Amino acid sequence: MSSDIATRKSQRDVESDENARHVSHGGNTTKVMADVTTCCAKANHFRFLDLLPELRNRVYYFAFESTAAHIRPYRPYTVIQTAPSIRKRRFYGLTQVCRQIREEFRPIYMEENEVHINPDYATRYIETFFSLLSSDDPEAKKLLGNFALDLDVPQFSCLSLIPLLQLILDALGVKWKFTGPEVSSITLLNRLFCSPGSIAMWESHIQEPIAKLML
Amino acid sequence: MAATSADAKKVTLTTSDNADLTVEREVAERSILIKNLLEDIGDNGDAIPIPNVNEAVMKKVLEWCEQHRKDPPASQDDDADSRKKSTDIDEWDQKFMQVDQEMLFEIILAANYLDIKALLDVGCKTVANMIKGKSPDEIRKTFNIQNDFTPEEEDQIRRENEWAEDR
Repeated sequence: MSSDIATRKSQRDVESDENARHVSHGGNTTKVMADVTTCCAKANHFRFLDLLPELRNRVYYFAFESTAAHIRPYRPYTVIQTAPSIRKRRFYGLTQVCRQIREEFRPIYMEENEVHINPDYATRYIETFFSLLSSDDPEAKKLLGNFALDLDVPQFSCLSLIPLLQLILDALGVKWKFTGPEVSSITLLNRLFCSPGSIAMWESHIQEPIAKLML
Repeated sequence: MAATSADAKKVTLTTSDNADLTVEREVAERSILIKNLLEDIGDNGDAIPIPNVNEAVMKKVLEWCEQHRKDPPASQDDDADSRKKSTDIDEWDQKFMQVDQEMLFEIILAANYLDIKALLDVGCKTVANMIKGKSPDEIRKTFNIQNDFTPEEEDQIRRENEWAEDR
Protein backbone atom coordinates (compact mmCIF):
# COMPACT_ATOMS: atom_id res chain seq x y z
CA MET A 1 0.00 0.00 0.00
CA SER A 2 1.33 3.37 -0.87
CA SER A 3 2.19 5.41 2.18
CA ASP A 4 1.48 8.73 0.54
CA ILE A 5 -2.17 8.23 -0.32
CA ALA A 6 -3.53 10.23 2.57
CA THR A 7 -1.83 13.48 1.69
CA ARG A 8 -4.76 15.83 1.45
CA LYS A 9 -4.48 17.87 4.61
CA SER A 10 -7.36 19.22 6.58
CA GLN A 11 -7.00 22.38 8.63
CA ARG A 12 -6.61 20.12 11.63
CA ASP A 13 -3.70 18.34 9.95
CA VAL A 14 -2.03 21.69 9.35
CA GLU A 15 -2.44 22.57 13.01
CA SER A 16 -0.86 19.24 13.95
CA ASP A 17 2.03 20.04 11.66
CA GLU A 18 2.43 23.38 13.42
CA ASN A 19 2.72 21.49 16.68
CA ALA A 20 5.31 19.20 15.14
CA ARG A 21 7.38 22.18 14.04
CA HIS A 22 7.40 23.44 17.62
CA VAL A 23 8.71 20.03 18.64
CA SER A 24 11.69 20.18 16.38
CA HIS A 25 12.56 23.83 16.72
CA GLY A 26 11.59 24.67 20.27
CA GLY A 27 14.28 25.60 22.74
CA ASN A 28 12.79 24.64 26.04
CA THR A 29 10.60 21.96 24.64
CA THR A 30 8.65 21.20 27.78
CA LYS A 31 7.38 24.80 27.90
CA VAL A 32 7.11 25.68 24.22
CA MET A 33 5.55 22.51 22.98
CA ALA A 34 1.87 22.22 22.48
CA ASP A 35 0.80 19.01 24.12
CA VAL A 36 -0.66 16.83 21.41
CA THR A 37 -2.42 14.75 23.98
CA THR A 38 -4.45 17.66 25.29
CA CYS A 39 -4.42 20.28 22.54
CA CYS A 40 -7.83 19.42 21.23
CA ALA A 41 -11.09 19.64 23.02
CA LYS A 42 -12.47 16.46 24.45
CA ALA A 43 -14.81 14.78 22.03
CA ASN A 44 -17.38 12.04 22.27
CA HIS A 45 -16.31 10.66 18.93
CA PHE A 46 -13.03 9.25 17.77
CA ARG A 47 -11.45 12.13 15.80
CA PHE A 48 -10.47 10.09 12.80
CA LEU A 49 -9.90 13.08 10.52
CA ASP A 50 -7.65 14.66 13.17
CA LEU A 51 -5.16 11.82 12.82
CA LEU A 52 -2.07 12.63 10.79
CA PRO A 53 -2.37 11.34 7.21
CA GLU A 54 0.23 8.64 7.83
CA LEU A 55 -1.80 7.34 10.77
CA ARG A 56 -4.99 7.23 8.72
CA ASN A 57 -2.96 5.30 6.15
CA ARG A 58 -2.01 2.82 8.85
CA VAL A 59 -5.71 2.29 9.65
CA TYR A 60 -6.40 1.85 5.93
CA TYR A 61 -3.61 -0.71 5.81
CA PHE A 62 -5.60 -2.94 8.13
CA ALA A 63 -8.85 -2.38 6.22
CA PHE A 64 -8.11 -5.44 4.14
CA GLU A 65 -10.73 -7.97 3.04
CA SER A 66 -9.51 -11.49 3.71
CA THR A 67 -11.89 -13.05 1.18
CA ALA A 68 -12.64 -11.94 -2.38
CA ALA A 69 -16.30 -11.09 -2.87
CA HIS A 70 -18.36 -12.09 -5.88
CA ILE A 71 -20.40 -9.09 -6.90
CA ARG A 72 -22.99 -8.38 -9.57
CA PRO A 73 -25.47 -5.66 -10.38
CA TYR A 74 -28.23 -6.33 -7.93
CA ARG A 75 -31.51 -6.77 -9.76
CA PRO A 76 -30.33 -4.93 -12.87
CA TYR A 77 -32.09 -1.65 -13.52
CA THR A 78 -33.25 -1.44 -9.92
CA VAL A 79 -31.84 1.52 -8.07
CA ILE A 80 -30.65 0.76 -4.56
CA GLN A 81 -30.51 3.79 -2.32
CA THR A 82 -28.82 2.22 0.68
CA ALA A 83 -25.35 0.78 1.05
CA PRO A 84 -24.79 -2.59 -0.59
CA SER A 85 -24.37 -5.90 1.13
CA ILE A 86 -21.15 -5.95 3.09
CA ARG A 87 -20.93 -9.57 4.19
CA LYS A 88 -17.44 -10.02 2.78
CA ARG A 89 -16.73 -6.41 1.88
CA ARG A 90 -16.50 -5.35 5.50
CA PHE A 91 -14.61 -2.13 4.79
CA TYR A 92 -16.46 -1.10 1.64
CA GLY A 93 -18.52 1.42 3.60
CA LEU A 94 -15.39 3.48 4.22
CA THR A 95 -15.19 4.32 0.51
CA GLN A 96 -18.44 6.29 0.79
CA VAL A 97 -18.14 8.29 4.01
CA CYS A 98 -16.99 11.71 2.82
CA ARG A 99 -14.94 13.25 0.03
CA GLN A 100 -11.62 13.22 1.88
CA ILE A 101 -11.77 9.62 3.06
CA ARG A 102 -13.07 8.48 -0.33
CA GLU A 103 -10.16 10.21 -2.04
CA GLU A 104 -7.68 8.63 0.35
CA PHE A 105 -9.12 5.16 0.82
CA ARG A 106 -10.99 4.21 -2.36
CA PRO A 107 -7.83 3.78 -4.51
CA ILE A 108 -6.29 1.58 -1.82
CA TYR A 109 -9.46 -0.45 -1.47
CA MET A 110 -9.86 -0.89 -5.22
CA GLU A 111 -6.23 -1.98 -5.59
CA GLU A 112 -5.92 -4.25 -2.57
CA ASN A 113 -9.24 -6.03 -2.55
CA GLU A 114 -10.05 -8.29 -5.47
CA VAL A 115 -13.65 -8.79 -6.55
CA HIS A 116 -14.99 -11.52 -8.81
CA ILE A 117 -17.61 -10.78 -11.42
CA ASN A 118 -19.58 -12.64 -14.03
CA PRO A 119 -18.05 -11.83 -17.46
CA ASP A 120 -21.53 -10.90 -18.70
CA TYR A 121 -21.32 -7.85 -16.45
CA ALA A 122 -17.72 -6.90 -17.30
CA THR A 123 -18.55 -3.93 -19.49
CA ARG A 124 -21.06 -2.60 -16.99
CA TYR A 125 -18.52 -3.01 -14.20
CA ILE A 126 -15.97 -0.98 -16.14
CA GLU A 127 -18.55 1.70 -16.92
CA THR A 128 -19.56 1.93 -13.28
CA PHE A 129 -16.22 1.88 -11.51
CA PHE A 130 -13.95 3.40 -14.14
CA SER A 131 -16.37 5.83 -15.74
CA LEU A 132 -13.88 8.71 -15.78
CA LEU A 133 -11.80 6.75 -18.17
CA SER A 134 -10.80 7.98 -21.57
CA SER A 135 -7.45 7.39 -23.16
CA ASP A 136 -6.40 11.04 -23.07
CA ASP A 137 -7.59 11.67 -19.51
CA PRO A 138 -4.55 12.01 -17.22
CA GLU A 139 -6.71 10.84 -14.32
CA ALA A 140 -7.01 7.48 -16.04
CA LYS A 141 -3.37 6.75 -15.29
CA LYS A 142 -4.12 7.02 -11.58
CA LEU A 143 -7.02 4.58 -11.57
CA LEU A 144 -6.54 1.45 -9.52
CA GLY A 145 -8.54 -1.72 -9.61
CA ASN A 146 -8.32 -5.45 -9.09
CA PHE A 147 -10.97 -7.76 -10.48
CA ALA A 148 -11.32 -11.29 -11.78
CA LEU A 149 -13.72 -12.52 -14.44
CA ASP A 150 -15.17 -15.74 -13.10
CA LEU A 151 -15.76 -18.19 -15.95
CA ASP A 152 -17.34 -20.69 -13.58
CA VAL A 153 -20.82 -19.33 -14.20
CA PRO A 154 -23.46 -21.30 -16.12
CA GLN A 155 -25.19 -18.26 -17.59
CA PHE A 156 -22.04 -16.83 -19.16
CA SER A 157 -22.60 -16.39 -22.88
CA CYS A 158 -19.90 -14.32 -24.52
CA LEU A 159 -17.51 -11.59 -23.54
CA SER A 160 -16.29 -8.64 -25.56
CA LEU A 161 -12.63 -8.21 -24.73
CA ILE A 162 -12.12 -4.84 -26.39
CA PRO A 163 -13.35 -2.75 -23.40
CA LEU A 164 -11.18 -4.79 -21.06
CA LEU A 165 -8.06 -4.41 -23.13
CA GLN A 166 -8.77 -0.72 -23.62
CA LEU A 167 -9.12 -0.33 -19.86
CA ILE A 168 -5.78 -1.97 -19.19
CA LEU A 169 -4.04 0.11 -21.82
CA ASP A 170 -5.47 3.36 -20.49
CA ALA A 171 -5.24 2.59 -16.78
CA LEU A 172 -2.06 0.71 -16.01
CA GLY A 173 -3.00 0.47 -12.33
CA VAL A 174 -5.98 -1.75 -13.01
CA LYS A 175 -5.28 -5.46 -12.64
CA TRP A 176 -7.60 -8.11 -13.96
CA LYS A 177 -7.52 -11.82 -14.65
CA PHE A 178 -9.66 -14.81 -15.42
CA THR A 179 -10.59 -17.40 -12.83
CA GLY A 180 -12.38 -20.71 -13.17
CA PRO A 181 -12.11 -24.44 -12.64
CA GLU A 182 -10.34 -25.31 -15.90
CA VAL A 183 -6.81 -24.47 -14.92
CA SER A 184 -5.13 -24.95 -18.30
CA SER A 185 -7.68 -22.74 -20.11
CA ILE A 186 -7.49 -20.08 -17.45
CA THR A 187 -3.71 -20.07 -17.55
CA LEU A 188 -3.78 -19.66 -21.31
CA LEU A 189 -6.33 -16.84 -21.18
CA ASN A 190 -4.37 -15.00 -18.52
CA ARG A 191 -1.20 -15.38 -20.54
CA LEU A 192 -2.95 -14.13 -23.68
CA PHE A 193 -4.79 -11.17 -22.21
CA CYS A 194 -3.59 -10.29 -18.72
CA SER A 195 0.18 -10.59 -18.62
CA PRO A 196 2.30 -7.45 -19.07
CA GLY A 197 3.78 -8.81 -22.28
CA SER A 198 0.41 -9.54 -23.84
CA ILE A 199 -0.91 -6.07 -23.04
CA ALA A 200 1.91 -4.52 -25.06
CA MET A 201 1.12 -6.93 -27.89
CA TRP A 202 -2.56 -6.03 -27.98
CA GLU A 203 -1.88 -2.31 -27.89
CA SER A 204 -1.14 -2.09 -31.58
CA HIS A 205 -4.13 -4.24 -32.53
CA ILE A 206 -7.15 -3.04 -30.65
CA GLN A 207 -7.67 0.28 -32.39
CA GLU A 208 -8.53 0.03 -36.10
CA PRO A 209 -7.54 -3.52 -37.12
CA ILE A 210 -9.77 -5.33 -34.61
CA ALA A 211 -13.34 -4.13 -34.28
CA LYS A 212 -14.61 -7.09 -32.33
CA LEU A 213 -12.89 -9.61 -30.07
CA MET A 214 -15.19 -12.05 -28.35
CA LEU A 215 -14.63 -14.88 -25.93
CA MET B 1 14.59 13.87 38.71
CA ALA B 2 17.85 11.96 38.51
CA ALA B 3 17.95 8.21 38.95
CA THR B 4 20.20 6.88 41.72
CA SER B 5 23.22 4.75 40.93
CA ALA B 6 21.62 1.84 42.78
CA ASP B 7 18.78 2.12 40.32
CA ALA B 8 20.96 1.97 37.23
CA LYS B 9 18.50 -0.09 35.23
CA LYS B 10 15.72 2.39 35.75
CA VAL B 11 15.00 5.56 33.84
CA THR B 12 12.85 8.54 34.66
CA LEU B 13 10.54 10.09 32.11
CA THR B 14 9.15 13.59 32.53
CA THR B 15 5.78 14.02 30.89
CA SER B 16 4.27 17.14 29.33
CA ASP B 17 2.51 17.97 32.59
CA ASN B 18 5.78 17.66 34.51
CA ALA B 19 5.11 14.32 36.13
CA ASP B 20 8.13 12.09 36.68
CA LEU B 21 7.58 8.42 35.98
CA THR B 22 10.35 5.96 36.85
CA VAL B 23 10.36 2.66 35.00
CA GLU B 24 12.75 -0.12 34.19
CA ARG B 25 14.92 0.71 31.22
CA GLU B 26 13.89 -2.46 29.43
CA VAL B 27 10.26 -1.37 29.62
CA ALA B 28 10.98 2.18 28.48
CA GLU B 29 13.04 0.87 25.58
CA ARG B 30 9.97 -0.59 23.94
CA SER B 31 9.90 2.99 22.65
CA ILE B 32 12.46 3.32 19.89
CA LEU B 33 12.53 7.07 20.53
CA ILE B 34 13.55 6.55 24.15
CA LYS B 35 15.92 3.72 23.26
CA ASN B 36 17.73 5.92 20.74
CA LEU B 37 17.82 8.83 23.17
CA LEU B 38 19.40 6.65 25.84
CA GLU B 39 21.96 5.34 23.39
CA ASP B 40 22.78 8.86 22.16
CA ILE B 41 23.03 10.69 25.46
CA GLY B 42 24.04 7.74 27.61
CA ASP B 43 22.42 6.74 30.85
CA ASN B 44 23.63 9.67 32.96
CA GLY B 45 20.68 9.55 35.31
CA ASP B 46 18.96 12.64 33.94
CA ALA B 47 15.24 12.50 33.44
CA ILE B 48 14.15 12.20 29.83
CA PRO B 49 11.59 14.80 28.76
CA ILE B 50 8.61 13.40 26.86
CA PRO B 51 7.00 16.70 25.96
CA ASN B 52 4.26 15.35 23.70
CA VAL B 53 2.64 12.92 26.13
CA ASN B 54 0.88 13.67 29.38
CA GLU B 55 1.03 11.60 32.55
CA ALA B 56 -2.26 9.75 32.10
CA VAL B 57 -1.42 8.64 28.57
CA MET B 58 2.21 7.86 29.43
CA LYS B 59 1.09 5.60 32.29
CA LYS B 60 -1.20 3.79 29.92
CA VAL B 61 1.57 3.42 27.34
CA LEU B 62 3.98 2.13 29.98
CA GLU B 63 1.36 -0.38 31.13
CA TRP B 64 1.39 -1.75 27.59
CA CYS B 65 5.20 -1.70 27.45
CA GLU B 66 5.39 -3.61 30.73
CA GLN B 67 3.05 -6.31 29.41
CA HIS B 68 5.02 -6.59 26.15
CA ARG B 69 8.53 -6.08 27.52
CA LYS B 70 9.74 -9.48 26.31
CA ASP B 71 8.14 -9.35 22.86
CA PRO B 72 10.56 -9.72 19.93
CA PRO B 73 11.16 -6.54 17.95
CA ALA B 74 8.93 -5.98 14.92
CA SER B 75 10.28 -7.42 11.68
CA GLN B 76 10.87 -5.16 8.70
CA ASP B 77 9.13 -7.76 6.58
CA ASP B 78 5.89 -7.71 8.52
CA ASP B 79 4.23 -5.14 6.27
CA ALA B 80 5.04 -7.15 3.16
CA ASP B 81 3.12 -10.13 4.47
CA SER B 82 -0.56 -9.67 3.69
CA ARG B 83 -1.47 -12.33 6.27
CA LYS B 84 -0.24 -9.93 8.92
CA LYS B 85 -2.93 -7.46 7.87
CA SER B 86 -5.46 -9.18 10.06
CA THR B 87 -7.36 -6.97 12.45
CA ASP B 88 -7.14 -9.71 15.08
CA ILE B 89 -5.99 -8.38 18.44
CA ASP B 90 -4.94 -10.63 21.31
CA GLU B 91 -7.14 -10.78 24.36
CA TRP B 92 -4.96 -8.71 26.69
CA ASP B 93 -4.58 -5.95 24.10
CA GLN B 94 -8.34 -5.94 23.45
CA LYS B 95 -9.00 -5.29 27.13
CA PHE B 96 -6.21 -2.73 27.22
CA MET B 97 -7.86 -0.84 24.37
CA GLN B 98 -11.24 -0.70 26.10
CA VAL B 99 -10.80 2.99 26.82
CA ASP B 100 -12.78 6.06 25.90
CA GLN B 101 -12.37 7.34 22.38
CA GLU B 102 -10.24 10.31 23.39
CA MET B 103 -7.78 8.05 25.22
CA LEU B 104 -7.64 5.73 22.21
CA PHE B 105 -6.84 8.73 20.02
CA GLU B 106 -4.10 9.85 22.42
CA ILE B 107 -2.59 6.38 22.72
CA ILE B 108 -2.26 6.24 18.92
CA LEU B 109 -0.60 9.66 18.82
CA ALA B 110 1.72 8.74 21.69
CA ALA B 111 2.67 5.38 20.12
CA ASN B 112 3.50 7.18 16.90
CA TYR B 113 5.56 9.87 18.66
CA LEU B 114 7.37 7.36 20.89
CA ASP B 115 7.88 5.03 17.93
CA ILE B 116 6.26 1.93 19.41
CA LYS B 117 5.13 0.21 16.23
CA ALA B 118 3.35 -2.73 17.85
CA LEU B 119 1.26 -0.44 20.05
CA LEU B 120 0.52 1.83 17.11
CA ASP B 121 -0.71 -1.19 15.19
CA VAL B 122 -2.94 -2.33 18.04
CA GLY B 123 -4.45 1.17 18.11
CA CYS B 124 -4.94 1.30 14.36
CA LYS B 125 -6.44 -2.20 14.33
CA THR B 126 -8.85 -1.10 17.03
CA VAL B 127 -9.94 1.80 14.83
CA ALA B 128 -10.20 -0.52 11.81
CA ASN B 129 -12.44 -2.79 13.89
CA MET B 130 -14.65 0.21 14.66
CA ILE B 131 -15.12 0.58 10.89
CA LYS B 132 -15.50 -3.11 10.00
CA GLY B 133 -18.96 -4.09 8.78
CA LYS B 134 -20.40 -0.61 9.14
CA SER B 135 -22.37 1.31 6.52
CA PRO B 136 -21.13 4.76 5.46
CA ASP B 137 -23.75 6.40 7.65
CA GLU B 138 -22.76 4.34 10.68
CA ILE B 139 -19.10 5.27 10.12
CA ARG B 140 -20.07 8.96 9.88
CA LYS B 141 -21.84 8.69 13.21
CA THR B 142 -18.91 6.84 14.82
CA PHE B 143 -16.41 9.48 13.74
CA ASN B 144 -18.75 12.50 13.63
CA ILE B 145 -18.04 13.12 9.96
CA GLN B 146 -20.26 15.19 7.68
CA ASN B 147 -21.43 13.85 4.34
CA ASP B 148 -20.01 16.45 1.95
CA PHE B 149 -20.50 14.69 -1.38
CA THR B 150 -21.73 16.74 -4.33
CA PRO B 151 -24.90 15.55 -6.12
CA GLU B 152 -22.68 14.19 -8.92
CA GLU B 153 -20.60 12.21 -6.45
CA GLU B 154 -23.74 10.93 -4.75
CA ASP B 155 -24.95 9.76 -8.13
CA GLN B 156 -21.70 7.88 -8.75
CA ILE B 157 -21.95 6.25 -5.32
CA ARG B 158 -25.55 5.28 -6.04
CA ARG B 159 -24.43 3.56 -9.24
CA GLU B 160 -21.65 1.74 -7.40
CA ASN B 161 -24.15 0.58 -4.82
CA GLU B 162 -26.17 -1.18 -7.48
CA TRP B 163 -23.42 -3.81 -7.22
CA ALA B 164 -23.88 -6.22 -4.37
CA GLU B 165 -22.41 -9.51 -3.26
CA ASP B 166 -24.18 -12.50 -4.75
CA ARG B 167 -22.37 -15.31 -2.90
